[in-house]
Amino acid sequence: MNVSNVIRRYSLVVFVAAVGVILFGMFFLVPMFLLLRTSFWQYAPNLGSMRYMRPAFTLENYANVLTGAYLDIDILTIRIGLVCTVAAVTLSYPLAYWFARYNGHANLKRFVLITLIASFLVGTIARVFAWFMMLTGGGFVNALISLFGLERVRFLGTELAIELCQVQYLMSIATLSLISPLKNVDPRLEEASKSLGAEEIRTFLNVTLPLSLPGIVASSLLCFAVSVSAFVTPMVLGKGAILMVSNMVYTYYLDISNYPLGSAFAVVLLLTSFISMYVLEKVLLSRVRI
Amino acid sequence: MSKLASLLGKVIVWGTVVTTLVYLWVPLAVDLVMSLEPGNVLRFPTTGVSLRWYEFFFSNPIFHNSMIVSFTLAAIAAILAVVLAIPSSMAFVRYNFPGKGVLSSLFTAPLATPAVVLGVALLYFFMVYFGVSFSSLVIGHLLLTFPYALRTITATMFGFDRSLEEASMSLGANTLKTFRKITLPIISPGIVASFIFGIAVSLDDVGTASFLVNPNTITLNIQLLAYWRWALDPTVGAASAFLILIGVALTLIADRIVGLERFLF
Repeated sequence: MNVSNVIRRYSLVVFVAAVGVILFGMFFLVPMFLLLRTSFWQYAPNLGSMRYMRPAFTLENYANVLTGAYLDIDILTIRIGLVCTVAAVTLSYPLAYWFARYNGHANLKRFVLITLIASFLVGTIARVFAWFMMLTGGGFVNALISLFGLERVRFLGTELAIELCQVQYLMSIATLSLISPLKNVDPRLEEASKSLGAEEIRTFLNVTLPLSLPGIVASSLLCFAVSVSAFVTPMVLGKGAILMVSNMVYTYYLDISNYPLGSAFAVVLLLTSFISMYVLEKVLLSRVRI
Repeated sequence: MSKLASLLGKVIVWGTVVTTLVYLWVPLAVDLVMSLEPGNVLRFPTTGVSLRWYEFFFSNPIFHNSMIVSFTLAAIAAILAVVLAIPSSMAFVRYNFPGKGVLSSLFTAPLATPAVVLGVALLYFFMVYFGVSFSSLVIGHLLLTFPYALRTITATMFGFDRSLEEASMSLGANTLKTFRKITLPIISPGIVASFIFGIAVSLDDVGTASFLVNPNTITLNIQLLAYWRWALDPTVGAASAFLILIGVALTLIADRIVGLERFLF
C-alpha cells in the first residue's frame, strides 16, 4: 500500500466521521437529547418572563400523554396506522406479485412503475388537496353519489378520509418494497411444487406466500411507521375533528407553548416509529443495506 | 376446481392492477379538472373552464416568494446531500474503521424519525443555541435528504470495479483526476437519482419545515396550508396541480436518465 492510498483512506474516514459528529451529532443527537430532557420538565407558564417551563424530573407529562383524553388520541393514531397498513399491504401484495411473477406486459409494468413513483414523488400537499377535492361536499365522489340519486355523504372530518389518502401514498411504499422479496422467491421451488402435483393456488399458499413473509412483515412495519407519523393528512382531511399524535406535538409547541407536554408526545411518537423500524432492521438482517 | 381457483387468482391480480391505476390516478386527475373552476367555490363538475386560479397563484407575491424559498431550499439540500454522500459512501464501501456500524445506524436514523419530531427537536435546539433562520431549514432538510443520497450512492458503489481506479493511478493520474475521470462517471446514475430524490423529499416536507419557518422563509407547502385555512377557493387546486406536474416531471426525468428500477427498495 503506497502513501497516497493511506492518505486517501485516512481523509475519507475523517470526512465521514466529521459528517457524523457535526451534522448528526450536533444537529440530530443533541436536539433529540434536549427533546427528551424537556419531556421530563415541568410546564410553568410565566407570561412576564416568556418562559414556559422549569427544569425538573417529572413523569407527569408522560402520565398525561398515556391516560385520559390523550390516550384516545394515541389509540386513534395506532388504529389509523393499523388500518392503513393492512389495507395498503393487502392491496399491494397482488400488484407486486403481478409485477414480480407474471411474464410479459412490459409496457404496462413500466406504466405501473411510473404511476407508483409519480404518486410517491407528487408530495403530501398535492395529494392531500387532491383528496380534499375528491371528498369535499361538492367534490367528485359526492357528484358520483348524487348521480345515483343518493344523499351527499360527509367524508371530511372522518377517519375514512384520512385512510383513503394515506393508503394511496402507502401503496407506493408497500408495492415498491414487496417487489424485490417476491422476485427473490426461487421460481424452481414453485415449479417443484407444481410438478409434484400441487395446484397453482396451493403452490402459492404453501410456497410463495411463506417465502415472501419476511417481505410482508418488513413492508408492514415501514407502512406503520409512516402512517402513525401522519401530520398534514389529519390536519386537512380531519378538519380539526380528528387529531393524531403529530398534530398534538404541533399544537402543544406552536399554539399553547407547553413544551414539556409537546415533547412527551414527540418522544412517544418517536419511540413508536423507532421500534417498528428497529424490528424492520432485524427482519431485513440478511439483506445488504446501509 | 383447480381451474376455478386459478381463474380467481387471475381476477384478483388483474383486478388489483386496474384498481391501483384508478386509485392512484383519479384523485390527481380530479385535482387537475377541478382547478379549472372559474367560480369562487370548488365543485365537480366545474361551471366552466378557466385558468383564473392559476393566474392568481402564479402572480400572487406571497406564493411567488414562498416558491423561491422552497426551490432554493430543495436545491441546496439536495446538492449538499449528494456532496456529503459521495465521500461518505466511498469510506463506507471501501474501508473498515471503528464506529462504522454506529455511524451507519446514525445516518439512517432520520428515515425512522417522524418529520414533526425532527422539526420540534430542531426548533427547540435552534431557539436555545443559534437562533432559527434559513440555515435551520437547510440543516433540517439536509438531515432528511442525506440518508436517501447515502443509500442510493452506496448501492452504485457496490458494483464498482476498483481495478479501474488502480489502473488510472498506475498510469500516472492523481487522486483527483482519477475521481473525476473514472469514479464520478461510474457512480453518476446514483448521483442523479439522489439529486432527484433529494429535490422531491425537500419539496414534500411539511412536518419539519412547519416548525422552522419564519415570516421570511415560509415554504410553499406551509404557505398553501396557511392560505387554505382561511380561503377555500380553487387556488389550492391550481397549486397542487402545479406540484403534481413537478412530481410527474421528476418521475419521467428519473425514468429517462437513470431508470426507475433504481427506486425499488
